[in-house]
Amino acid sequence: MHTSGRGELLLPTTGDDAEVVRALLQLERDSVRVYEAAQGRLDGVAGRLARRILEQERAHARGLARSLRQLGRAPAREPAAQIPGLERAIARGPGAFASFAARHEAEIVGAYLQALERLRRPGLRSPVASILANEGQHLALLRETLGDDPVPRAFETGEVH
Amino acid sequence: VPPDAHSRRAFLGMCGAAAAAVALPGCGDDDSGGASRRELDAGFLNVALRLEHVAVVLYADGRDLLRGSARRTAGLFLDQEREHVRRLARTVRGLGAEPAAPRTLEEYRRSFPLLRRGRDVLRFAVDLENRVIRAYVDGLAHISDPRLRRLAGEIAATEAEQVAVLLGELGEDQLPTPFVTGTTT
Repeated sequence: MHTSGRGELLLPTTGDDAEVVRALLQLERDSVRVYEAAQGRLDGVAGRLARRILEQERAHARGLARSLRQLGRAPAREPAAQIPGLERAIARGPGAFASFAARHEAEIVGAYLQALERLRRPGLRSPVASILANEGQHLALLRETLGDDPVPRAFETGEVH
Repeated sequence: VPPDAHSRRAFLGMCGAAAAAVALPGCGDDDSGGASRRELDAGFLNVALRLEHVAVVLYADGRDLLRGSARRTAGLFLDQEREHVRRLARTVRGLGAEPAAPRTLEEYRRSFPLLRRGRDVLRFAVDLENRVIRAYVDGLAHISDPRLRRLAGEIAATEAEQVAVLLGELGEDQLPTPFVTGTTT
């Protein structure tokens, strides 16, 4: 995680729909850990936003786990790896955390865009698109918190700038 | 009946008619195969294009009623909606189909609710953007070309970002739902 500039590299390059959903679920669980780590440690707008985003990332994880079960796969919990840079960002304060979270959300957006290309089952694509749209909103509000343009381009590609 | 309710129904009816104009054969669990996938893809993109035309008119007309950050936002979103129109039209043409042409300004304006002040514009923009998001989110189930699905996803994400900003301008919850389907505001 956070080793690439594009979220799409976070998805496996091969595999069926269940593999794609499993990878998205893992990314959402990473997101939950990012925002959980910030709980109680950030004040102000960034802290409030982090709490709100956490609720929504948890809802995404529950939805994807349900989808995975419907595909006949158990949503096994993978060992939680350390998220590089997270603790340092939180320690440096709300601005550093918002910047870290924005990069994370951009990568997640990229991963969802690649998932839309890869998913073969039409019935999976609309729910995945609805999560993508919400991740875009997270990204926009984090940019706003940083004083940046919340919607800087007409096509949200998940590229990290 | 509030004066704008009739117009809003007319507007939503216009959007519904646009969506209904696309046939939905082959909506099974696997979309491989099919003789006219390009036509169907073009049809779904044209549904979105019709709504993007509406958004261009709304932001072009509505920004005069806005002030400060809301006015700047409307100007930015106008540029972005125009980019969506250009890209969608080019893509539909590339699929061998005719891009949906815009209606006349008067036709759009007649279908709009009464826009008397900035708040009316922002509220209607949220409604319209949600219609646009819904077109992309629903359409993504049926678009067969993966590259077009990415394009639809990129635009849907941008429209959702715009909704979050517009809700902020209205002083409302900017993240009302974790699953942005365009059916909620």
